[in-house]
Amino acid sequence: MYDAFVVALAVFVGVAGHEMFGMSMLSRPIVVAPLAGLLMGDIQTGLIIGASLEAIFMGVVNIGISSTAEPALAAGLATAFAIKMGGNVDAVIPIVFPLAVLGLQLLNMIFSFVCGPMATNFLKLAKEGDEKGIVKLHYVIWFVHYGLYALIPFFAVLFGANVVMTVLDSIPPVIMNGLTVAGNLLPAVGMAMLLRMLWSKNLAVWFFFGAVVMAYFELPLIAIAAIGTIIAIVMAQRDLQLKGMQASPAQQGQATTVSGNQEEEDFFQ
Amino acid sequence: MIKAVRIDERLIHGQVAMTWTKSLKLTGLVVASDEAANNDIQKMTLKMSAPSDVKVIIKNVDDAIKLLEDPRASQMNLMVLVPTVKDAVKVAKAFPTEVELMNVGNAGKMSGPSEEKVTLTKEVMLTQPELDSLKELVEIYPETVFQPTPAMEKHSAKAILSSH
Repeated sequence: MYDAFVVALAVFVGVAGHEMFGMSMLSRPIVVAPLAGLLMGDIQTGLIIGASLEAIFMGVVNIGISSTAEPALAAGLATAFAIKMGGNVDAVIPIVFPLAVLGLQLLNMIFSFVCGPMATNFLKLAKEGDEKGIVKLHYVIWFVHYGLYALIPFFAVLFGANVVMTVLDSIPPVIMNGLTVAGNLLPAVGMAMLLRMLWSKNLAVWFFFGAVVMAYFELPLIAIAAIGTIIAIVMAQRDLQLKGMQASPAQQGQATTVSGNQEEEDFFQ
Repeated sequence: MIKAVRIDERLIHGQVAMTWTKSLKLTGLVVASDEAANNDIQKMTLKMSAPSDVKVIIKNVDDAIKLLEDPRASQMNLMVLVPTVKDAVKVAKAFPTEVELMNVGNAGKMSGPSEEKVTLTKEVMLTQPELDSLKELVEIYPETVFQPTPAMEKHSAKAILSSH
Protein backbone atom coordinates (compact mmCIF):
# COMPACT_ATOMS: atom_id res chain seq x y z
CA MET A 1 0.00 0.00 0.00
CA TYR A 2 2.75 2.44 1.00
CA ASP A 3 4.81 1.46 -2.05
CA ALA A 4 1.83 1.95 -4.35
CA PHE A 5 1.19 5.36 -2.85
CA VAL A 6 4.73 6.66 -3.12
CA VAL A 7 5.16 5.42 -6.70
CA ALA A 8 1.91 7.17 -7.63
CA LEU A 9 3.20 10.28 -5.86
CA ALA A 10 6.50 10.19 -7.75
CA VAL A 11 4.68 9.85 -11.07
CA PHE A 12 2.30 12.67 -10.12
CA VAL A 13 5.14 15.00 -9.10
CA GLY A 14 6.85 14.17 -12.38
CA VAL A 15 4.06 14.62 -14.92
CA ALA A 16 2.13 17.32 -13.08
CA GLY A 17 5.25 19.28 -12.14
CA HIS A 18 6.52 19.05 -15.69
CA GLU A 19 3.39 20.80 -16.94
CA MET A 20 3.09 23.19 -14.00
CA PHE A 21 6.52 24.72 -14.40
CA GLY A 22 6.43 25.02 -18.16
CA MET A 23 7.90 21.78 -19.57
CA SER A 24 10.48 21.65 -16.80
CA MET A 25 11.46 18.05 -17.65
CA LEU A 26 10.39 16.83 -14.20
CA SER A 27 8.65 13.91 -15.91
CA ARG A 28 11.94 12.49 -17.21
CA PRO A 29 12.87 9.04 -15.88
CA ILE A 30 16.05 10.54 -14.38
CA VAL A 31 13.80 12.49 -11.97
CA VAL A 32 10.88 10.12 -11.42
CA ALA A 33 12.81 6.88 -10.86
CA PRO A 34 15.25 8.15 -8.19
CA LEU A 35 12.35 9.92 -6.47
CA ALA A 36 10.32 6.71 -6.39
CA GLY A 37 13.44 4.85 -5.24
CA LEU A 38 14.10 7.35 -2.48
CA LEU A 39 10.55 7.11 -1.17
CA MET A 40 10.68 3.31 -1.32
CA GLY A 41 13.97 3.28 0.57
CA ASP A 42 16.26 2.14 -2.24
CA ILE A 43 17.57 5.22 -3.97
CA GLN A 44 20.42 3.32 -5.64
CA THR A 45 18.11 1.06 -7.66
CA GLY A 46 16.07 4.17 -8.44
CA LEU A 47 19.15 5.94 -9.77
CA ILE A 48 20.22 2.95 -11.88
CA ILE A 49 16.72 2.60 -13.36
CA GLY A 50 16.50 6.36 -13.88
CA ALA A 51 19.79 6.54 -15.75
CA SER A 52 19.08 3.43 -17.87
CA LEU A 53 15.61 4.66 -18.82
CA GLU A 54 16.79 8.19 -19.48
CA ALA A 55 19.26 6.76 -21.99
CA ILE A 56 16.41 4.91 -23.71
CA PHE A 57 13.92 7.78 -23.69
CA MET A 58 16.41 10.60 -24.25
CA GLY A 59 15.18 11.10 -27.80
CA VAL A 60 11.51 10.91 -26.90
CA VAL A 61 10.13 14.41 -27.23
CA ASN A 62 6.41 14.79 -27.66
CA ILE A 63 5.45 17.55 -30.06
CA GLY A 64 1.78 17.85 -30.82
CA ILE A 65 0.61 14.76 -32.63
CA SER A 66 4.09 13.42 -33.15
CA SER A 67 4.09 11.93 -29.66
CA THR A 68 5.62 8.54 -29.04
CA ALA A 69 5.78 7.72 -25.35
CA GLU A 70 5.29 9.07 -21.83
CA PRO A 71 8.19 7.66 -19.83
CA ALA A 72 7.24 8.77 -16.28
CA LEU A 73 4.75 5.95 -15.74
CA ALA A 74 7.26 3.42 -17.03
CA ALA A 75 9.99 4.88 -14.81
CA GLY A 76 7.82 4.69 -11.68
CA LEU A 77 6.64 1.16 -12.35
CA ALA A 78 10.07 -0.13 -13.39
CA THR A 79 11.57 1.24 -10.17
CA ALA A 80 8.86 -0.36 -8.03
CA PHE A 81 9.17 -3.74 -9.74
CA ALA A 82 12.99 -3.71 -9.68
CA ILE A 83 13.10 -2.87 -5.97
CA LYS A 84 10.51 -5.54 -5.18
CA MET A 85 12.62 -8.06 -7.07
CA GLY A 86 15.66 -7.19 -4.98
CA GLY A 87 17.33 -4.72 -7.28
CA ASN A 88 16.97 -6.80 -10.45
CA VAL A 89 17.29 -4.01 -12.99
CA ASP A 90 17.97 -6.08 -16.11
CA ALA A 91 14.68 -7.94 -15.92
CA VAL A 92 12.45 -4.86 -16.00
CA ILE A 93 14.18 -2.87 -18.77
CA PRO A 94 12.54 -4.79 -21.66
CA ILE A 95 9.04 -4.10 -20.34
CA VAL A 96 9.41 -0.34 -20.03
CA PHE A 97 8.87 0.63 -23.66
CA PRO A 98 5.39 -0.90 -23.99
CA LEU A 99 4.56 0.65 -20.61
CA ALA A 100 5.63 4.10 -21.80
CA VAL A 101 3.59 3.82 -25.00
CA LEU A 102 0.59 2.65 -22.98
CA GLY A 103 1.16 5.53 -20.56
CA LEU A 104 0.92 8.10 -23.34
CA GLN A 105 -2.30 6.56 -24.67
CA LEU A 106 -3.86 6.61 -21.20
CA LEU A 107 -2.74 10.17 -20.55
CA ASN A 108 -4.28 11.25 -23.86
CA MET A 109 -7.48 9.34 -23.12
CA ILE A 110 -7.89 11.17 -19.81
CA PHE A 111 -7.18 14.36 -21.69
CA SER A 112 -9.82 13.67 -24.36
CA PHE A 113 -12.56 12.26 -22.17
CA VAL A 114 -12.13 14.16 -18.90
CA CYS A 115 -10.42 17.45 -19.74
CA GLY A 116 -11.90 17.92 -23.21
CA PRO A 117 -15.54 18.15 -22.17
CA MET A 118 -14.55 20.89 -19.67
CA ALA A 119 -13.98 23.29 -22.57
CA THR A 120 -17.65 24.34 -22.46
CA ASN A 121 -17.24 25.33 -18.79
CA PHE A 122 -14.37 27.61 -19.76
CA LEU A 123 -16.54 29.20 -22.44
CA LYS A 124 -19.30 29.75 -19.91
CA LEU A 125 -16.91 31.35 -17.41
CA ALA A 126 -15.42 33.51 -20.15
CA LYS A 127 -18.88 34.75 -21.12
CA GLU A 128 -19.57 35.63 -17.49
CA GLY A 129 -16.21 37.41 -17.30
CA ASP A 130 -15.23 35.27 -14.33
CA GLU A 131 -11.43 35.40 -14.52
CA LYS A 132 -10.88 33.83 -11.12
CA GLY A 133 -13.18 30.98 -12.02
CA ILE A 134 -11.13 30.27 -15.14
CA VAL A 135 -7.88 30.17 -13.19
CA LYS A 136 -9.45 27.92 -10.55
CA LEU A 137 -10.91 25.53 -13.12
CA HIS A 138 -7.54 25.43 -14.85
CA TYR A 139 -5.84 24.17 -11.69
CA VAL A 140 -8.67 21.76 -10.89
CA ILE A 141 -8.33 20.15 -14.31
CA TRP A 142 -4.58 20.08 -13.94
CA PHE A 143 -4.97 18.16 -10.69
CA VAL A 144 -7.67 15.82 -11.99
CA HIS A 145 -5.75 15.06 -15.20
CA TYR A 146 -2.54 14.02 -13.50
CA GLY A 147 -4.24 12.71 -10.36
CA LEU A 148 -6.21 10.22 -12.47
CA TYR A 149 -3.03 9.35 -14.34
CA ALA A 150 -1.22 8.69 -11.03
CA LEU A 151 -3.95 6.23 -10.07
CA ILE A 152 -2.64 3.91 -12.81
CA PRO A 153 0.77 3.28 -11.16
CA PHE A 154 -1.00 3.15 -7.80
CA PHE A 155 -3.19 0.21 -8.78
CA ALA A 156 -0.50 -1.32 -10.97
CA VAL A 157 1.87 -1.55 -8.02
CA LEU A 158 -0.88 -2.51 -5.57
CA PHE A 159 -2.19 -5.44 -7.61
CA GLY A 160 0.33 -5.88 -10.38
CA ALA A 161 3.68 -6.23 -8.63
CA ASN A 162 3.16 -9.89 -7.71
CA VAL A 163 1.74 -10.71 -11.12
CA VAL A 164 4.65 -9.07 -12.92
CA MET A 165 7.09 -10.87 -10.65
CA THR A 166 5.45 -14.24 -11.28
CA VAL A 167 5.39 -13.65 -15.02
CA LEU A 168 9.00 -12.51 -15.14
CA ASP A 169 10.05 -15.45 -12.93
CA SER A 170 8.30 -17.96 -15.15
CA ILE A 171 10.05 -16.75 -18.33
CA PRO A 172 12.78 -19.30 -19.13
CA PRO A 173 16.35 -17.99 -18.67
CA VAL A 174 17.13 -18.36 -22.39
CA ILE A 175 14.42 -15.89 -23.33
CA MET A 176 15.19 -13.64 -20.36
CA ASN A 177 18.82 -13.44 -21.48
CA GLY A 178 17.65 -12.44 -24.95
CA LEU A 179 15.39 -9.77 -23.49
CA THR A 180 18.25 -8.47 -21.36
CA VAL A 181 20.49 -8.17 -24.40
CA ALA A 182 17.69 -6.40 -26.27
CA GLY A 183 17.23 -4.13 -23.27
CA ASN A 184 20.92 -3.26 -23.33
CA LEU A 185 20.60 -2.22 -26.97
CA LEU A 186 17.71 0.15 -26.26
CA PRO A 187 19.91 3.08 -25.11
CA ALA A 188 21.51 3.02 -28.57
CA VAL A 189 18.03 3.35 -30.07
CA GLY A 190 17.26 6.21 -27.68
CA MET A 191 20.48 7.96 -28.63
CA ALA A 192 19.76 7.43 -32.33
CA MET A 193 16.29 8.95 -31.96
CA LEU A 194 17.80 11.94 -30.20
CA LEU A 195 20.45 12.38 -32.88
CA ARG A 196 17.86 12.22 -35.64
CA MET A 197 16.50 15.43 -34.21
CA LEU A 198 19.71 17.11 -33.08
CA TRP A 199 22.20 16.02 -35.72
CA SER A 200 23.92 18.94 -37.38
CA LYS A 201 27.18 19.09 -39.28
CA ASN A 202 28.54 21.74 -36.92
CA LEU A 203 27.91 19.72 -33.79
CA ALA A 204 28.85 16.31 -35.21
CA VAL A 205 32.54 16.76 -34.35
CA TRP A 206 31.67 16.78 -30.66
CA PHE A 207 29.83 13.51 -31.02
CA PHE A 208 32.99 11.87 -32.37
CA PHE A 209 35.07 13.67 -29.76
CA GLY A 210 32.95 12.01 -27.06
CA ALA A 211 33.25 8.60 -28.71
CA VAL A 212 37.05 8.90 -28.95
CA VAL A 213 37.42 10.10 -25.36
CA MET A 214 35.26 7.21 -24.19
CA ALA A 215 36.72 4.41 -26.33
CA TYR A 216 40.44 5.26 -26.43
CA PHE A 217 41.08 7.43 -23.38
CA GLU A 218 38.75 5.24 -21.34
CA LEU A 219 37.61 8.19 -19.26
CA PRO A 220 34.73 7.56 -16.88
CA LEU A 221 31.35 9.08 -17.86
CA ILE A 222 31.54 11.65 -15.04
CA ALA A 223 34.80 12.99 -16.45
CA ILE A 224 33.32 13.16 -19.97
CA ALA A 225 30.27 14.98 -18.61
CA ALA A 226 32.54 17.51 -16.85
CA ILE A 227 34.58 18.07 -20.03
CA GLY A 228 31.31 18.49 -21.96
CA THR A 229 30.11 21.10 -19.49
CA ILE A 230 33.38 23.03 -19.78
CA ILE A 231 33.21 22.99 -23.57
CA ALA A 232 29.58 24.16 -23.46
CA ILE A 233 30.43 27.07 -21.16
CA VAL A 234 33.42 28.14 -23.26
CA MET A 235 31.31 28.05 -26.42
CA ALA A 236 28.45 29.94 -24.79
CA GLN A 237 30.84 32.68 -23.64
CA ARG A 238 32.28 32.99 -27.14
CA ASP A 239 28.80 33.11 -28.66
CA LEU A 240 27.84 35.89 -26.25
CA GLN A 241 30.96 37.81 -27.23
CA LEU A 242 30.18 37.42 -30.92
CA LYS A 243 26.60 38.49 -30.34
CA GLY A 244 27.83 41.61 -28.53
CA MET A 245 30.12 42.44 -31.45
CA GLN A 246 27.34 41.99 -33.98
CA ALA A 247 24.74 43.90 -32.03
CA SER A 248 25.88 47.44 -32.77
CA PRO A 249 25.96 47.42 -36.61
CA ALA A 250 22.83 45.26 -36.83
CA GLN A 251 20.84 47.71 -34.75
CA GLN A 252 21.76 50.55 -37.06
CA GLY A 253 20.45 48.50 -39.96
CA GLN A 254 17.15 47.92 -38.24
CA ALA A 255 16.71 51.57 -37.39
CA THR A 256 16.06 52.39 -41.02
CA THR A 257 12.76 50.96 -42.13
CA VAL A 258 13.27 47.50 -43.57
CA SER A 259 11.97 47.64 -47.10
CA GLY A 260 10.54 44.58 -48.80
CA ASN A 261 13.67 44.23 -50.87
CA GLN A 262 16.00 44.37 -47.87
CA GLU A 263 13.94 41.57 -46.35
CA GLU A 264 14.42 39.50 -49.49
CA GLU A 265 18.17 40.20 -49.55
CA ASP A 266 18.41 38.91 -45.99
CA PHE A 267 16.46 35.80 -46.89
CA PHE A 268 18.77 34.90 -49.77
CA GLN A 269 21.96 35.81 -47.94
CA MET B 1 14.33 24.66 -55.36
CA ILE B 2 10.80 24.21 -54.00
CA LYS B 3 11.18 21.05 -51.94
CA ALA B 4 7.57 21.22 -50.85
CA VAL B 5 4.40 23.24 -50.76
CA ARG B 6 2.39 22.52 -47.65
CA ILE B 7 -1.15 23.50 -46.76
CA ASP B 8 -1.10 24.20 -43.05
CA GLU B 9 -3.41 26.67 -41.35
CA ARG B 10 -0.96 26.88 -38.44
CA LEU B 11 1.87 27.72 -40.88
CA ILE B 12 5.07 27.21 -38.86
CA HIS B 13 4.65 25.00 -35.79
CA GLY B 14 6.14 21.87 -34.24
CA GLN B 15 5.38 19.55 -37.15
CA VAL B 16 7.07 21.91 -39.61
CA ALA B 17 9.86 23.25 -37.43
CA MET B 18 10.94 19.95 -35.89
CA THR B 19 10.23 17.28 -38.49
CA TRP B 20 9.87 18.61 -42.05
CA THR B 21 12.86 20.95 -41.86
CA LYS B 22 15.04 18.00 -40.85
CA SER B 23 13.72 15.41 -43.25
CA LEU B 24 13.78 17.69 -46.32
CA LYS B 25 17.02 19.44 -45.18
CA LEU B 26 15.29 22.79 -45.60
CA THR B 27 17.26 26.02 -45.57
CA GLY B 28 14.29 28.35 -45.87
CA LEU B 29 10.58 28.59 -45.12
CA VAL B 30 8.44 30.83 -47.30
CA VAL B 31 5.15 31.67 -45.66
CA ALA B 32 2.70 32.72 -48.36
CA SER B 33 -0.27 34.14 -46.52
CA ASP B 34 -2.13 37.36 -47.21
CA GLU B 35 -3.31 37.47 -43.63
CA ALA B 36 0.04 36.82 -41.95
CA ALA B 37 1.87 39.25 -44.27
CA ASN B 38 -0.27 42.11 -42.95
CA ASN B 39 0.02 41.19 -39.29
CA ASP B 40 3.27 42.26 -37.64
CA ILE B 41 2.67 40.28 -34.47
CA GLN B 42 2.00 37.11 -36.40
CA LYS B 43 5.09 37.74 -38.52
CA MET B 44 7.19 38.07 -35.39
CA THR B 45 5.86 34.88 -33.79
CA LEU B 46 6.25 32.92 -37.02
CA LYS B 47 9.89 33.96 -37.24
CA MET B 48 10.40 32.92 -33.63
CA SER B 49 8.90 29.48 -34.15
CA ALA B 50 11.39 28.40 -36.81
CA PRO B 51 14.73 26.76 -35.97
CA SER B 52 17.60 29.25 -35.91
CA ASP B 53 19.40 27.70 -38.89
CA VAL B 54 16.36 27.99 -41.18
CA LYS B 55 15.52 31.33 -42.81
CA VAL B 56 11.96 32.55 -42.74
CA ILE B 57 10.20 35.07 -44.94
CA ILE B 58 6.54 36.02 -44.75
CA LYS B 59 4.88 37.44 -47.86
CA ASN B 60 1.44 37.68 -49.31
CA VAL B 61 0.81 35.00 -51.91
CA ASP B 62 1.59 37.13 -54.98
CA ASP B 63 4.84 38.49 -53.53
CA ALA B 64 5.82 35.02 -52.38
CA ILE B 65 5.45 33.75 -55.94
CA LYS B 66 7.62 36.63 -57.16
CA LEU B 67 10.20 35.76 -54.51
CA LEU B 68 10.21 32.13 -55.58
CA GLU B 69 10.89 33.19 -59.18
CA ASP B 70 14.15 34.79 -58.05
CA PRO B 71 16.99 32.63 -59.43
CA ARG B 72 18.61 32.63 -56.01
CA ALA B 73 15.63 30.66 -54.68
CA SER B 74 16.79 27.67 -56.69
CA GLN B 75 19.97 27.59 -54.58
CA MET B 76 17.93 26.99 -51.42
CA ASN B 77 15.87 24.09 -50.14
CA LEU B 78 12.53 25.76 -49.61
CA MET B 79 9.18 24.81 -48.18
CA VAL B 80 6.28 27.08 -49.06
CA LEU B 81 3.61 27.22 -46.36
CA VAL B 82 0.12 28.28 -47.35
CA PRO B 83 -2.87 28.48 -45.01
CA THR B 84 -5.56 27.37 -47.45
CA VAL B 85 -6.07 25.06 -50.42
CA LYS B 86 -6.91 28.07 -52.57
CA ASP B 87 -3.51 29.62 -51.91
CA ALA B 88 -1.86 26.30 -52.73
CA VAL B 89 -3.64 26.27 -56.10
CA LYS B 90 -2.34 29.76 -56.79
CA VAL B 91 1.24 28.66 -56.05
CA ALA B 92 0.77 25.45 -58.04
CA LYS B 93 -0.45 27.40 -61.07
CA ALA B 94 2.63 29.63 -60.92
CA PHE B 95 4.93 26.60 -60.57
CA PRO B 96 3.15 23.76 -62.35
CA THR B 97 6.15 21.42 -62.46
CA GLU B 98 8.77 22.70 -60.02
CA VAL B 99 7.26 21.58 -56.72
CA GLU B 100 8.79 18.30 -55.53
CA LEU B 101 6.18 17.53 -52.91
CA MET B 102 2.64 18.85 -52.67
CA ASN B 103 1.60 18.21 -49.09
CA VAL B 104 -1.67 18.71 -47.23
CA GLY B 105 -1.01 19.12 -43.52
CA ASN B 106 -3.69 20.80 -41.42
CA ALA B 107 -6.73 22.62 -42.74
CA GLY B 108 -10.15 23.68 -41.53
CA LYS B 109 -9.79 22.64 -37.91
CA MET B 110 -9.01 25.99 -36.33
CA SER B 111 -12.34 27.52 -37.28
CA GLY B 112 -14.10 24.55 -35.72
CA PRO B 113 -16.45 21.99 -37.23
CA SER B 114 -19.52 23.11 -39.08
CA GLU B 115 -22.30 21.55 -41.11
CA GLU B 116 -20.89 22.51 -44.47
CA LYS B 117 -17.44 21.06 -43.80
CA VAL B 118 -16.49 17.62 -44.98
CA THR B 119 -14.05 15.73 -42.77
CA LEU B 120 -11.48 14.13 -45.06
CA THR B 121 -8.97 13.03 -42.42
CA LYS B 122 -8.34 13.70 -38.75
CA GLU B 123 -6.38 16.80 -39.73
CA VAL B 124 -8.30 18.11 -42.73
CA MET B 125 -11.87 19.44 -42.91
CA LEU B 126 -12.89 21.32 -46.03
CA THR B 127 -15.91 23.24 -47.26
CA GLN B 128 -17.34 22.54 -50.71
CA PRO B 129 -15.50 25.40 -52.47
CA GLU B 130 -12.29 24.25 -50.80
CA LEU B 131 -12.92 20.70 -52.01
CA ASP B 132 -13.24 22.07 -55.53
CA SER B 133 -9.91 23.85 -55.05
CA LEU B 134 -8.37 20.58 -53.89
CA LYS B 135 -9.61 18.88 -57.06
CA GLU B 136 -8.00 21.64 -59.07
CA LEU B 137 -4.77 21.18 -57.11
CA VAL B 138 -4.76 17.43 -57.71
CA GLU B 139 -5.20 18.07 -61.44
CA ILE B 140 -1.96 20.08 -61.46
CA TYR B 141 -0.17 17.82 -58.97
CA PRO B 142 -1.67 14.32 -59.11
CA GLU B 143 0.90 13.16 -56.52
CA THR B 144 -0.52 15.45 -53.81
CA VAL B 145 -0.41 13.68 -50.43
CA PHE B 146 -2.01 14.15 -47.03
CA GLN B 147 0.74 13.71 -44.43
CA PRO B 148 1.10 15.64 -41.15
CA THR B 149 4.72 14.67 -40.41
CA PRO B 150 7.28 12.74 -42.47
CA ALA B 151 7.14 9.85 -40.01
CA MET B 152 3.38 9.44 -40.47
CA GLU B 153 1.54 7.52 -43.14
CA LYS B 154 1.01 9.12 -46.56
CA HIS B 155 -2.47 9.23 -48.06
CA SER B 156 -2.92 10.10 -51.69
CA ALA B 157 -5.20 13.10 -52.14
CA LYS B 158 -6.61 11.52 -55.27
CA ALA B 159 -7.74 8.45 -53.33
CA ILE B 160 -9.21 10.56 -50.54
CA LEU B 161 -11.11 12.73 -53.03
CA SER B 162 -12.54 9.78 -54.90
CA SER B 163 -13.90 8.29 -51.67
CA HIS B 164 -15.81 11.49 -50.86
